[in-house]
Amino acid sequence: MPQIFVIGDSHTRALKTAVPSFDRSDMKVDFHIHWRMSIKNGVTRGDIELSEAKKSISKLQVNDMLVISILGTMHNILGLIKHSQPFYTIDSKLDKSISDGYELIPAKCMQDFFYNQWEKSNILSDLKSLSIAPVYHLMPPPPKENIEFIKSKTSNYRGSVIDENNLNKSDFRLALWQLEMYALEKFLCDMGVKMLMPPNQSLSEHGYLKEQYFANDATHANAEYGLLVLNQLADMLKDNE
Amino acid sequence: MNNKFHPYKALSNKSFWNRSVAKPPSAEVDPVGKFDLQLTPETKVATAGSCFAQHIARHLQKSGFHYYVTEQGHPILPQNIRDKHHYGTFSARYGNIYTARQLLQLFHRAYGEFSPIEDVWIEEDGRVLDPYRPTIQPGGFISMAEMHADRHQHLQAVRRMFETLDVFVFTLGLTECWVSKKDGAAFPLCPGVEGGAFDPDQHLFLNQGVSDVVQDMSAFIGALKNVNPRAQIVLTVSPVPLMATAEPEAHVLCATTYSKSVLRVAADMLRKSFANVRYFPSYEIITGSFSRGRYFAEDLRNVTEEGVSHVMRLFLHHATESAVNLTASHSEKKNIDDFIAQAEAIVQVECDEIALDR
Repeated sequence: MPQIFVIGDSHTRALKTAVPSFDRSDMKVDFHIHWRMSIKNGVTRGDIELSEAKKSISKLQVNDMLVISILGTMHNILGLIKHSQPFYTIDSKLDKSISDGYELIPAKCMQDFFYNQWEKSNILSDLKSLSIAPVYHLMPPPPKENIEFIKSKTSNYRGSVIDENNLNKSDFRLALWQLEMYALEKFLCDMGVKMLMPPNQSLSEHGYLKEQYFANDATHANAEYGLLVLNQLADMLKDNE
Repeated sequence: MNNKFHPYKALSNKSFWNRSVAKPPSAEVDPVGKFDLQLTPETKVATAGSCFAQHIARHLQKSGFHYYVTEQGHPILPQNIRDKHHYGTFSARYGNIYTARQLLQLFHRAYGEFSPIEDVWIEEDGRVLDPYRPTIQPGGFISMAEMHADRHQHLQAVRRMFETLDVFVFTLGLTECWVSKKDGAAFPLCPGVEGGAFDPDQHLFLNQGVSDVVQDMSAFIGALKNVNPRAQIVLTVSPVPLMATAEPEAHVLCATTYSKSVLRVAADMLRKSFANVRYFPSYEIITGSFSRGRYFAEDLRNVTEEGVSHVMRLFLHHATESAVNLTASHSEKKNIDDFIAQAEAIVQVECDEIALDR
């Protein structure tokens, strides 16, 4: 049975919780889905040490698949909560942005910034070099449009308190996500890694994550979304055969 | 022996070639005349001009002075990204300003007094460029809306700079420029070189004379005084020769001499006309025969770090109360001997003009 080995960050949780629901009559897949372990504020998160993941990846066969999902979260880190010096990108559709003290960051600057951050880490190239199986990078889900939902489910994001006024507008967050995806596509292309976008069915008319796929927080998707992704991966594996 | 009095008897050493140029060690030649500007670490010094002005900005920063930048780039961007995108190369993101005409028009554009008809360049690959700073955004802008928004933000920063600076150092670079036939808008580079399309029906070559430069600069000096009455101005002339000349039939060496002569004369006329204008002789320091050409790099155009250091040593010596060592320090000499360090220092300067010879 072919294997799909997924290693990534917290967004892998949606996929892992969906595995029991994966049921395809046309194919069987052996899913191994892992969240890379890290220590944050003294708390260990994740379920696999990188060294262990590397051992497993080096055993993959050509008809297996390696899926990495570690990049593409900068839009949340930079964009969920307003920076103390607010900024915008041109597609953010902000009104009176200049007079309100927002600073334009040109798209090419932002893309270079993303690229620069990714270049600092060798993890993608390290993992890719260990695999004889095709390597893909899975994008994290797009932003959630519903700000009321975010406020109701999250009081704190990466150490910052979320309040009535400090969440960025959804247009801004979507524009930043799109910029990051565009930059990541180029980065992955340069790395020789194929890019997997979120499944089309999960996107709203304007490109946000549909509410039915929301996990109970500001940024993550749920198991239903995870199942869409597992099927997407299985389809690709089938196409590769 | 003639002991009769004549005016030269009372002059100091600097008035005499042998005593002040031929005899002293080259690193100690100091051609600065009257220069009564005093900088403190708090003095906000803004810079603009041709590529040589970037050296001034870099050294001011390195020496602990307040190199005043009003368009810094957003703080989430790390320094290497801001550098790449020209935030901080000059005091605002205007790129190289080669001519007096460009500087005057920048001022007018910043205050809404001039809106060039040729507003935008859209390249075949979709990149959108600002014709008045075509190389400022690597990769170009992604849309006209972005270019306009960035320009709006940029011109705000330019106004802030003019209104709040203490000292404005402007390096006059060229007299040759290309302008729009429709409204006289001056481009930093000939359309078609780094963007846009050259059209002989739309674009006109202009080689400014002394009166043109004096007139443009006088208008600028007056306009600056209106928005910032206490602003002091330091003029320098770039010693960097022309990359190419468009003057019909002219040799680039003669065109360079013409251009630098015009700028040098204009600078002195302006110094004598305006109490808040001073001239600093970086041109003479670099091109003076005492250095025997050593201050020019292999291409006979770029200025070596040794030459720039000489200029800035003297600038800081004359403009600050603290004593600055007039001879190159040991570490500087070591760097000067280091070809790679020298080459790196040369390439740190963004000279759009280089594109003329590609």
